[in-house]
Amino acid sequence: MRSRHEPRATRQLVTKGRTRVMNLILFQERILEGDIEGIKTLTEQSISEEIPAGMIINEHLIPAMREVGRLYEAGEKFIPEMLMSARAMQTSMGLLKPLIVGDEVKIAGSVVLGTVEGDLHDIGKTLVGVMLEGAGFEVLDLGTDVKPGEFVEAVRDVGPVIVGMSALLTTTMPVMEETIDALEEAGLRDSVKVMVGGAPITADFAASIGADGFAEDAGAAVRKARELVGVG
Amino acid sequence: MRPIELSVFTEDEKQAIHTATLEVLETVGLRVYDEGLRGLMRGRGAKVDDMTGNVKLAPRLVKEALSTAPRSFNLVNRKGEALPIPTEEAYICSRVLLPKTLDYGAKEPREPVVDDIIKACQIANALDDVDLVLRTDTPVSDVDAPPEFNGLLSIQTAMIYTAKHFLCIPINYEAMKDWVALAEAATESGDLAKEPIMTLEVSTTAPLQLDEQSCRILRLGAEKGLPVMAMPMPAGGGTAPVTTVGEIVVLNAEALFIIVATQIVNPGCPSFYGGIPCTFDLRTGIISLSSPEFPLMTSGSLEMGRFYGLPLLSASKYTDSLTFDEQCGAEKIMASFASLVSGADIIYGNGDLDNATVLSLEQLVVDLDLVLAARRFVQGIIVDEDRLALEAIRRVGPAGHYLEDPHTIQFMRSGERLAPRSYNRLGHRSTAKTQLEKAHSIAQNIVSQPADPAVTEAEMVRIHAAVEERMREIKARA
Repeated sequence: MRSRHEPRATRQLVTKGRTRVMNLILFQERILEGDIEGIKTLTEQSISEEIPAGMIINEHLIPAMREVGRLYEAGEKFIPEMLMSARAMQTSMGLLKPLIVGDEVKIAGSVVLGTVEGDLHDIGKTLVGVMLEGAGFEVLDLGTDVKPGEFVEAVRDVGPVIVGMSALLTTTMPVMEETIDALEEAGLRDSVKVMVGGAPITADFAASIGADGFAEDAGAAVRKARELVGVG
Repeated sequence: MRPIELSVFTEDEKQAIHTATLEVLETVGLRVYDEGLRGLMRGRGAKVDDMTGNVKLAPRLVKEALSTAPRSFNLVNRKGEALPIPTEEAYICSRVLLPKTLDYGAKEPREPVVDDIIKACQIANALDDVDLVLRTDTPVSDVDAPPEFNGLLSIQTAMIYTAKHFLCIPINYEAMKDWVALAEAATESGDLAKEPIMTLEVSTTAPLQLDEQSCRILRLGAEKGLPVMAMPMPAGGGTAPVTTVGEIVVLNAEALFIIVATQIVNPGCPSFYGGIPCTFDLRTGIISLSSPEFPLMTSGSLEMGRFYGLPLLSASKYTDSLTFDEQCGAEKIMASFASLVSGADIIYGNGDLDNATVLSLEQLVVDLDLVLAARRFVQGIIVDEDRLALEAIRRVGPAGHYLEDPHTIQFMRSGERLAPRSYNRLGHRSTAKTQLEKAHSIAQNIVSQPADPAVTEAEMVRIHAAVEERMREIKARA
C-alpha cells in the first residue's frame, strides 16, 4: 500500500508503472469476461489518462484476444464466451478508432463477408467475422442471402483484401462460383483474395471454382486469411 | 399404442411445452420468404408482416390445422401395396443417395456415380424389411448430360430401379418439379393424391424461418396432395435454445408451422410430424446430428407429435462418425431405439455415415439389423396361453429338450426370434469374422446380381416421356 507521505515524483512513477501493468491485467480480465460495460469504462478512463490509443490496442486488446483464441483452441472457452470477448473488444475499439494516430495500429486489412444468395445460415459466417476482427481485420458483414452483385458492390466500395463467402447448403454452393465470375466481370477479381467455407465446402471444391483459400472452421479461417494477406 | 412405449414427459409437461409453442407461434412467428405462401396464410387469418416476412399464427389456426390433418391414411408403393399409417410396426427406410459414397476398405469417400444409386436400390429391393427409400438430391458425377439435367436423370435412375415408396428431399423447386413429373408418370392415374407413391420432406431454416425454395416446394407438394413430412432441424445452442426442452419448443413450433401451412394449402393433405433435434457444439462449432441428447430430444419431440395425434416420422440413423466403428453403432442404436419406443411410424437414415453426408452399402445392411433389433424390443413380449407354453413344459418335463416339441415348431418362425443378417453368431466358425466383413459379403451377393428395372414396360415408357418433357421445359427456361 502506497504511503501518503512518499515524495510526489516517486508516487507518480509508481502510479504510472502500476497503471500500465494494471491496465494490461484489467483489459485482459474484461475481454476474457466479455464485460462490455467494464471495458467501456476502462477504455474511457484510459483515454482520459491520455494513454495512446495505439498502445491500448497493440499492448492490451490484441494480446487479450490472442489469449481468448488460445483458450478456445485449448477447449477451455466456449464459442458464446469467445463472442462476448469479441463484442467487448469491438466496444473498446469503437472508442479508440477515432483516436488512432498515423500508422501506430497495424490493421491487417478489410474483409467483406457474407452467406451467399439463397442461403440463410448465419452462424459460421458470423463466427469467422468475429475471429477475424479479433485478429486485427476490419470486417464488413453483409449478412445472409447475399447476391453476387452485392458482393461486387461491397468490394468496389470498401476495397477489401479478402472476400469471404459461406454456404451451408449444397444447393447454394454454385453461387460462390457465380460471385467469383461476377468479380471477374467487374474487373475486381485481381484486387482481392477470395475465401470460401461452410459445412459442404471442401478444399477441392474451393480450388475448382478458383477461390484462393478455404478453411474448415473459424480458427483455420483466421490463419488462412493472415497467410493470404502476408501477415501470418 | 405400441406394446412398449416410452414417455419422457408428464401430461403437465406436454401441456407446458404446447402452451409455450403456441406462444412462440402467436407472438414471434416464423419468417416466410415466399410471398405466395404468406398470401395464402394471410387469407386464412395468419398475421403477416410483409416488411419482415414474419407470419404469426393464432392458436385457432393451429387447432384448425390439427383438426384437418388426417390421423390415418395409406402410403403406397409402385407394386400397388398399401403402407397404412399409423402402423404398429414402424416402416424402415433405406437411403439411395448421399453426397459421398464410402467403398468397402476405402479410407476416404468418393463422389457418387449412377451405379451407386442402382446398387443402393438393389439392396433396398433385396432386403424384405425395407419398406421405403429416401433420396437426398445431390449431383452424381458421371451423368452423361449437361449439369441442369443431372438431378432429373439421377431421380429417373432411382425411380426405375426400385418400386418402393420414396421419401424425397428436393434440392430446390426445380428438382421438386422433376420429382413430381416423374412420380406422376410412374403412377397409373397420374394423380399423386390417389396414388401417394412419394412423401415429401420439408424443413425449416432454424431459428424460425422457411426459405423461399422450401415454401414453393411445400406449396407444390401439398397442392398435389403428397404426404408432407415436417422435419425441422434446430441446433440447440446455435439456432435454438441450449436447453433440451427449449430446443423442443422451437422444433415443435417449426413442425406445427409446416403442418399449418400444408393444411392451409390443401386441407386434409396427409402430414407427418417429425424433426431432427441437432446440437450446436459450443466448444467446436460443429453441428451434431447424433449427440447424446439426440435420442432424448427425439423421444421428447415425437411425444409431442403423439400429443397431437399426428403420424410420426423420425430420422434416427445418423452418426457423427466417419466410418463403421463403435461410435457409429452406439449412436445409431440409441437413436433407433428412442425413435421406435416413442412411436415413430417411419424411421429413416439407413446407410448414413458422417452426419448424413456419406452412404455405405455395408452400412445399409448393418443399419437394417440395428433397427430391426430395436423394433423387436418395442414389439414386446406377447403373453397368452399358447406362449406361456405350460403344455410344452409339461410334455418336455425335467431333463428333456424342446427341439422336437410341437410348441417349438409352432412358434420358431412366428416372429418370436429375430435373426440379424450381419451379426456374427457363429463365433470362430464364421467365415466373415467381423460385422463389417459379413455386411460386405451380404451387400456384394446382392449387387453382383444383374440389376433389373423394377418398373413395367409401360411405366418405363411413361417415365422416359416425362424426362423428355422436363428436359424441354428446362431448356426452354434456360
